[in-house]
Amino acid sequence: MNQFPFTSQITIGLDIQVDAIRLLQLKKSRRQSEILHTAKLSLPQGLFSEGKINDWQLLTSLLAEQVENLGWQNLPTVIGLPAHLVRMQRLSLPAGLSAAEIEADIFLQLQQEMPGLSEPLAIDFSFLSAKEPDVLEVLYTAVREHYLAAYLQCLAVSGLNVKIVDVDCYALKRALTSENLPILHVKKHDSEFMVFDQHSLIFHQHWSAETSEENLLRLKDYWQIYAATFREHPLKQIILCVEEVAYFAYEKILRELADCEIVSPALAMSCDFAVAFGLAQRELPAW
Amino acid sequence: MVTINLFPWRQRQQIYQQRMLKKIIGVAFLLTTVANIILYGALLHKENHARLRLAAIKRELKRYAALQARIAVKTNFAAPISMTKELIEEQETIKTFFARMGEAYAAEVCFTSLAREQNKMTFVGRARSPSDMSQFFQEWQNTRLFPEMQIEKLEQRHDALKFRWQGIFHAL
Repeated sequence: MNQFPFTSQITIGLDIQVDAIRLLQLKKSRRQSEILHTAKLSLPQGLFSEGKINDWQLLTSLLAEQVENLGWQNLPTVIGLPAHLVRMQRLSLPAGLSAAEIEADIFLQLQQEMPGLSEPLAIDFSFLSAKEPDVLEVLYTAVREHYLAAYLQCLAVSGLNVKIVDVDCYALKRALTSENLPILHVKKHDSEFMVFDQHSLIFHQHWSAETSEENLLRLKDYWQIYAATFREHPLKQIILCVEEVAYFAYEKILRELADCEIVSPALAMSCDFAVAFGLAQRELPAW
Repeated sequence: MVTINLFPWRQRQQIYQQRMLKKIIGVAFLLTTVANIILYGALLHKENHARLRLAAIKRELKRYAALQARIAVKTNFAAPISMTKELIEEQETIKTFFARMGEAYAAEVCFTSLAREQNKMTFVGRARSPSDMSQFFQEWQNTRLFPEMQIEKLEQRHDALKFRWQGIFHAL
């Protein structure tokens, strides 16, 4: 929350993907947002392993140099974790529980679902509108604490002041649409297909493919899985967030899969910075 | 749409809220202290003002009392009353004196001058004859207006007897 509503606030959106780091500086005032600067830093191969960052030292040095060059030290920053690295689930609990009790229930639930889990987890939860008054609908998100701690440590050393750790699919949705439209996000090394209801993400698939043909085949598979799972919610529209050169190929395959309308994202910048933009849009806390 | 923050924000928020609470308490204490100091100063100023006014009133009262005393001294009725009494008594005496003077052979004796010096009154006048003079003198002695009467001068001139005598009376 902006403590001074008549002043503008500068936020950095940081999106670290396998191929590059994307940084976006957004100036937010009461009425409008203005992108002040974008920066993209290509990452060497080997920094990521199985979708996770494994060379923290290299990332820290690269990021620190970039931050120093941009002069963004200590600016409030919002980062996003890939959705495939976090666990998001709904949980119904009796109403009237304290935050600590809710966290305890979430841990219990996680231990039941993953009996061998021994690593500590970082958890956050949000309340959803419950259908019954004595029931608390909670959406919790959990990530391995060591991974998050390493991430935060890396960013702190780089000179950024992290305020929010979001999930990239929510940032992407925030950047692309205010409605609950499904999104197909095709990146250089991987792709994501996500569907939202009014509260949260209900279907998410993330995959990596070497070739565009393989990518399209995987997309077909996941599309069919969705159609079979959510028969009562057929997709009528979809946002296609992809590089311009590949746009028509994906448009064609989507039309073949289902008779749905393809919506182009109304973005002022390239789809490449959509996640960083969505992250920077987050309202910063007072602390 | 839900908002997720995996940053340990609850602890941060708690620390921030505690800090804010401390700040609010500090500011409230500071404001209260400043307000108290201002109030104290204002009251002190008022009190000083009231003291000054009280002192001025007391001074005025003293002046008034002194003035009253002076007025009382000036218009001291006790002394003038006694003085007036004496005057009245004297006036009465003089009135009686003149009344009695008129009663006694006024047609045969006339005074040409009357003079008073302290408790002595000098009468100068004329009488037709020594017998009229003698009768008048005798009658006057009978009136006891003057405890002591002394003839200073008698002189026969043509058809009248000129006289000068003194009546001594007690001091007023």
